[in-house]
Amino acid sequence: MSPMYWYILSLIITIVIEFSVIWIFVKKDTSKLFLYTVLINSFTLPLATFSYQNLINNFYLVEALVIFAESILIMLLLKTKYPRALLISFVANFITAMISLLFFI
Amino acid sequence: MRNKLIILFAFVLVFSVFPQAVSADLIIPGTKSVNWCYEISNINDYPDYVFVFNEERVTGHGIINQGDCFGFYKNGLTSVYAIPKAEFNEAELNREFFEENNPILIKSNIQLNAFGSVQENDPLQKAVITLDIESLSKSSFDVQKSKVTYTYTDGTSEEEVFQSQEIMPEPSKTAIMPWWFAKFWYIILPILAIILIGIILLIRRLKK
Repeated sequence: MSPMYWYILSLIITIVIEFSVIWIFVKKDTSKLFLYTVLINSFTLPLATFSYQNLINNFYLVEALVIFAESILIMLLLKTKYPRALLISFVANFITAMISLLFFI
Repeated sequence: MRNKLIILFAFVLVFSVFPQAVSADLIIPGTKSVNWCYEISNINDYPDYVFVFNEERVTGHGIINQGDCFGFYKNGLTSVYAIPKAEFNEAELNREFFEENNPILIKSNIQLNAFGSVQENDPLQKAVITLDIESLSKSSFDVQKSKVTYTYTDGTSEEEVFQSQEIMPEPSKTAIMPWWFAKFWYIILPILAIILIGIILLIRRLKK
């Protein structure tokens, strides 16, 4: 399969998983939550793959930066307090990071 | 004004009918030129000779010293010559000097060409092609391509040895996705996403 499809597949899988995690925490405005998840991951995943391939060849550091960036976006978009946003971001990205380590890296 | 329009129309017509006239000297969309050059590794082994390259169309000629990396016009074919140091006068170097019947010129067996371009998102940044002088006498000058050193955008580099003089060894790192997708993935998608997030936050603030 072309690498291009792997990138798209990884984005779709990430969106599905992170949306599920955010939904478990929030459980309201499903369509809005889905839109926010799509936007957040469309911002962080391409930058994370670029950083990992070209700038910081350290998976854990890149994931930490993604958790931080997403926590801020979750806080702003979901209008939640930062510790909760950080927890949501950590859980969501922990799961997707484990999947990445198992299947993609 | 009318004459200018006619000239402009003719210009557009010519270059749309013969697009190769335009593309001959431009970079094709989606590709980038690589910083490339040639070097000769063992010039110091031949202290009695001066080495020069000559590209007839645009670049002209130049003296090659040990450690020099020389390039030339991308569509030009370049020859390498040796000249006995005792007979060399730099002031004489001109277009006529490189004519076939010049008795002091010892033309090498090799003809060099440009490296070419790669896909826009290719990690290749620089290619240095190393030539070795295999033998040199008053009547023959044998030069072989020995290796190419590729440098990538991440700062790493590697050496690939020539297995055949006609085939350039492939760099081990190449673009893993088409340039248009790379542009979409790395630039358009995140910018679009952050703009939409910004708009959502702005609308929310304005509604308050």
